Order: sequence, then C-alpha cells, then structure tokens
Amino acid sequence: MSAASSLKEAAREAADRFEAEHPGTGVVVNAAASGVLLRQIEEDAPVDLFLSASRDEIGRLERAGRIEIGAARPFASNRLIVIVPAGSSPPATLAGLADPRFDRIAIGNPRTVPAGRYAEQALRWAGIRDAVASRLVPGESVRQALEYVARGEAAAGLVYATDARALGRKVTLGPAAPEGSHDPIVYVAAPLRDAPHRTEAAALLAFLLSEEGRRILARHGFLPPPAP
Amino acid sequence: MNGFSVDIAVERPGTPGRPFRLEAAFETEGGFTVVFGPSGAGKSTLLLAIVGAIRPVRGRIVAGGRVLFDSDHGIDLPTRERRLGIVFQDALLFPHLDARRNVEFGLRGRDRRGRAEEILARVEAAGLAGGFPEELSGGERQRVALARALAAEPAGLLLDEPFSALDPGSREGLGAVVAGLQRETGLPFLHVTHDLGEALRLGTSLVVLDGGNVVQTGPPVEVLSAPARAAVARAVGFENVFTGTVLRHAPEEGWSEVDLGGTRVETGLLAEPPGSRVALGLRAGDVIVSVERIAGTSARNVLEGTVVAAERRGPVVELVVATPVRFRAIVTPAAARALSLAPGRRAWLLVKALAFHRLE
Amino acid sequence: MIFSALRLSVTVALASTALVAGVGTLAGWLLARSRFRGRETLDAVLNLPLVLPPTVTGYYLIALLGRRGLLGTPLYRFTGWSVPFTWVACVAAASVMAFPLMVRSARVAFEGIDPRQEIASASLGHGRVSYLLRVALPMARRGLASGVVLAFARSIGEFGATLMLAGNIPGRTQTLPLAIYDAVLAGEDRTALALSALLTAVSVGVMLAAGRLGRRRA
Repeated sequence: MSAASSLKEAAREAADRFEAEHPGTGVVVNAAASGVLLRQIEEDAPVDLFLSASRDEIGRLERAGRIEIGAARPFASNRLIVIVPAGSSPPATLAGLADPRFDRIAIGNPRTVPAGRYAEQALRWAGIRDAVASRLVPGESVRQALEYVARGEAAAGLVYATDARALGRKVTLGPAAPEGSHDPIVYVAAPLRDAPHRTEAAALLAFLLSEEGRRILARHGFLPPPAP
Repeated sequence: MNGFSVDIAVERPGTPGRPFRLEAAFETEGGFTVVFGPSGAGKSTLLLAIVGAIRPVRGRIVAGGRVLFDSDHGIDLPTRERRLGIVFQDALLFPHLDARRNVEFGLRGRDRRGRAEEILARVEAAGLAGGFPEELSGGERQRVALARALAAEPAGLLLDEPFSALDPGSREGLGAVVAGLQRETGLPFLHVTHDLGEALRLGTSLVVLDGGNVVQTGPPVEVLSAPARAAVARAVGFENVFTGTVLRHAPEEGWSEVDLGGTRVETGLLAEPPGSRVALGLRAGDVIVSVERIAGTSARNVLEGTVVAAERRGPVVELVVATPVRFRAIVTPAAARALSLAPGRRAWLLVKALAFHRLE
Repeated sequence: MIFSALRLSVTVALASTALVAGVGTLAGWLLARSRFRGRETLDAVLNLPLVLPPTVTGYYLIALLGRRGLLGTPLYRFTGWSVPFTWVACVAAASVMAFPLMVRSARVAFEGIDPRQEIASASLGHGRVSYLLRVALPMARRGLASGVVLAFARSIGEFGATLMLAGNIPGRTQTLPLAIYDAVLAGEDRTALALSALLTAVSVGVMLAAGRLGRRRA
C-alpha cells in the first residue's frame, strides 16, 4: 500500500487492524509525497493499493490505464492549517501570514506535493500569494514542511491539520484555511489494475471504507469524504 | 677552530623494545673528515643530528666555532640557522625546479641567476643549468646538489654517502670534484660512507663508527694500522686493510708493485697509474706463517718480520707481524705451539699476489 | 529555471571547491606531517561524510547550522540571518561532502614527499612556510589538482545533504541535481533529460580540463 505521507500513521494503524482480521496477510505501507508515489507507480513499483492526497495523481494513472475508471474511491478529507514553531504566536487569520515576521513560510513543494498546491490556492485566496512568494520554502513532503517549522527554520507553515496534530508538541496551531479557499482536499484510494495481490487490495480498500476504517481515520484527525 | 666538535647521545626508536643509541664524540681540525662504518653503525643518524633534524638526548655540537646544540645551556638552533649544507645519497633535488633554480633556492640577495650559474660552473655543471632533475644522470644530480648546498654559504658541508648510487666512473670524477671543492673553500666537510676506498682516497681524517659508537679517530692510515679495527674489518670483510702507493706495473707478467709504507708487495695487476693511492684488503687466513725463509714457492711475497702479538681468539690464534707494516695472520693453536709463535719471534709471511684485494 | 539552476550549481561548486581546496590542503598537510595523539581518530571523523548517508551528514549540518543549531542559534541571534535555505547552505553541504576527498588527496600527496626534502630546504635557510609554498605545494601539485577535481565533481553533484540543509527553492537553492529531482517527480521528463545532459556536459568538461592541467608541467 502506497500512502500519501500525511496518511502515514493512519494507514499503518489501518493496516495493522486489517492484518489482525486477515491472518496470514501482511501489509507493507510505503509512505511518501503523493507525487513521489505516482512516479514510483509509473516506474512499475509493485503496488496494490494507492492512497493519494489528491484526485490529480489518480487521474493521471487512470489516463495511463493503470487504474480502472470508476475504481477510485474518496475515503477521507482534510484541511489546511497555519502552524508556527512551539512558543511563537500564530497569526489571527490566514492573511496574517503576510506579516514580515514570518520570514519563511513552509509549504509542500507545489510541483510534487498536493498539500503545496492547496496551500498556494489558499494563499492566493487570502490575497497574499504574491506578497509572500519570495518567503515560501517548499518541502519535499508535508512532513518536511512541518519539520522546517518544528525545528524553527521556518517561522510559519501551511500544512494539513492531521500532520500538525501528529507533531503537536513542537508546533503551535493557528487558524485553518476556510472552506472554499482551496480545492477540497480529498483522499482517494484506488487499487492498481495490475496489482500483484488484487483480492487483498480490494479487501483492504473495503476495510478503509468500512465503519472501522472511518473510525481509525477520524482518530487521526481526518474528516469524512465529501458527500458524493 | 674550523672543524666539527661533536659529543652527543642520540636515541632512535630502532626495533621495538630495543632502541638504537648513538654515542658519538669526536673533534676534527677542519679539512675533509670521513665518517666510516658498516651499515647500521649510526652514520646517517649522526649527520641528521648535526644538521638539526634529530634532537640528541644530551650533548654538544659545534661547527666552525658556532655552538649549534648544547643540552646544558638549552641551545638548539633550528636547521635553517645552522648554516650547514647537506648532500644526500640520492641528491634529492627539488624535482619541480631546473638545476639553476635549485641552486637559486639557496641564494639570497641580488643577481641570483648569475651567481647560481657561477656556482654550477665551480662544480663543472655549467651546462646543466636548464636541466630538470629527472633529465640528469646520477652524477650530474650530485653536482647540482653540491652547488645548491654551497649556494647558501654554509659554514660546513655534510655529505651522506653522496656517491653510493653512482657507477665507479662518475664516482671517481665526483670524488675529485668534492675533494677539490674542499681544498678551494677551506670549509670543513663531513662525509659519511661505508666505502673504505672512498674514505681512504678523500679523507684527511677518519672517524670510525660501529654499533652506535665512535671506535676510532685519526688520520686514515693511522686508523687502519692501529689495533682497534674490528669494525673496519667487519665492514670490508678483511682483517688487513692497507693503503699504499702504486710503484709500477708489469702488465704482461700480470702484477703490480705497491708500497704499503715501508713494505713493498707484489699484487695482482692494478688499473691505477703509478703514483696513485690504493686501498688493499687481505684476509688473515690468506697469510701463511713460517719460521724459516722458504724458497721455491708460488707465493710472490715472502716478507720477513717480527711477531709483535699472539693472542688466542676463540678457536684460533691471531698474530700481528711487523714487516714493518703490520700484518694480521691466523693460525691454529697447535701451529702456534709447534712453531713457538710468540712476541719477539722472527717469522716470514707468505702471501700470494692475488690474495691482495683492491678495495673500492 | 534551467539557467538559474546551472548558474547556482557552478557558483556553489566553485565556492565550495575554493574553500575545500584551501582548508583541505592545510588539513592534509597537518595530517601528513604531525604525529599527534588522536590523529587517526581525527582522520576517521574527517572521512565520515564519505561513508555516512548524505542524510545523516545533512542532519548533523542542520544540528550545527540550523536556526536552533549549535552555531546557528548565536548566529541568528546576533545577525538575524541563518544558513538554511540560502546558497551558503548549498556551499556548506557541498563543502562538507567534498572535504574528505580533498584532504585524502592532499595527505597522500604530501606523504609522498621525502621528509629529507624539508631538511634540505631548511639547511638552505628556508623556514616552514617557505618550504610549504616553494617546495611541498609544487611537488604535491598533481595530487592536489586531482583532489580539486574530485572536490568539484562531488560539489556539483551534491544532492542529499543539500536538500536537507538548503531545501529545494527554485532560483535560490535549487541546484542542478535538485532541479533534476524536481523535474523527475513532477513528471517533466524532457526537462529532467535536458538538465541531466547539462550536468553531464559540465562534469565531462571539468574532467577534460583537469586532465589537461595535470599533464602540463608547472
């Protein structure tokens, strides 16, 4: 199972529970930025189930014929949140990031990390995208952007609320990006067409969508997927 | 006082658990001093200590009246202030500089180029100025190394086996150049070698080093005819070492006559022209001792003399016979008893011409 | 983007090579000559970046130079400036990775010089500095030159530690290798190919120039 890095802990827990319910089945979780996972799949990495942080990657694989049209399922959603290093004070609103004291603002690399694309959208929505452009520090994954803030290298960051919770002690949470300030952050799961273990992949996907799967995701701060 | 005065103790790591210790004390009156000894005697260590590359554990080093090292007074001049030139066995020129620039490296002040060329000319190396060390022969390199050492106007020159890597021809030529330089400059030279012939040809005084100790000093001929020469014998493989002057040759007869300093002997045919100095070695076991004059023998030398010493050494008796030049011979204790070989006894020594070996 | 990455890469590689050539030569000189206690340990530590994964080296660099790092904290407090996410961070990462190669080459080159050369030099009235400048450096020049080439090659190809300390900011810290990484992940295969070809061409050019330099007598 290749999971977007923001899903790392949730995916691991879900996999553990799935293994417990299906003795004899082992699930390997490969967590990285969705863009990185996409490249791995394109290079024929042996992946059964792909949990992406955005529809874009799934769409690209559908066009390449690697995922059957209609097989992908949204299973969770997320929000962006402003974070600052523990001990410093966050801005009151998203637009407050324009304050020069936020000399470096960590986001995911917009070219490869979906969170980065959402962050750019949110900053543009807040009308400060150009003002902070030279202060943006792209991380190779959400986790790296978060690390930049946790270590104090960046004065602020705009990352997934779930990741911010995971490293809660080292960062202080600020305002969330309002709904509508960016495309909905929808996590989409899809079994690969040429998966080495198709049956297990389908069972794992079903587990994620089950009540129990939802509970695990909720415990890690994920919101339910938007109603279809 | 122009020479070297050395009295030092040096300790070096040597083999584990058994450090090498050099105890050297000698004085020279200037001129050409040869330090002679077998390999491992401590010759190079001595030079390195004098030049300041190794610090003695105690002692005193004086060169040309300047105190270079004195452990009692806390004096230890760094090498660059000792003003001693040094020439190594392998010349050790700076490979990235041509001959002239190697010499210039030792010069200060104006017109270094012109002066470097002058110095090269003095060692008969004027034509080598533009040559890089790798393009020069071994002998040429040594000439340049000599010129470089002289360039810094040293108070003395140290030579660490400078000829040992050369063929005999260039060795002779360079020997003459070095000896000439010493006479011309009047600088004290300290020349280390394990080559006895070289020591005898060049040296005005000889320091014999063995096992880390100075075992003898003095003019070469005296040193070699004096008794404490086990080290010399071991170094060259001959108990008898003579220096002599070639008198004449009989090429068709295959012999030469050499005056050993009061005793004339016939040797195998030598290459040196009459009047040359040569060093000859003779094994004590190649000398036959008789108490009567014997005729009709193939031995070309029958030398009359007097036994001056007869000493038991392990399984043999060693005799010293004055002819008047002293010869060492060994006989069995039985022969010594049968012939009553004791000091004062008249004896004749029988030595084949070909038993004399010319020492390189 | 290609042009800025190329310019940054070359600038960073030149700066770190210059730094490493100077400090590395001196370090190699000291290691080759002195026999102090802990010398072998120091040598091993200096060589660590050769064997450690670049991420570990990158981590140590962050711990040292980061805004909350050992040296980074006072630096930030007094100047308001910090190393990460600047081109200086690229130079620092590249330098640390290239340093062992330079030290090693320099040390071997200096160890190859007969110690009696220094005695000869001193007997001609020259001190240590004069010996270093006029004898040891020229004699070691081939080894030093190969060290410089290796250092430059390592610098221009540095990726892992740079990514960790300098980040991947287009136009500021995105060197050629990072730009290639970025292009590959973004699926821009043609850009990746063009950048890779460019980096290859620069490297081949450096090697050729170095070969020519090595053959010429100083």
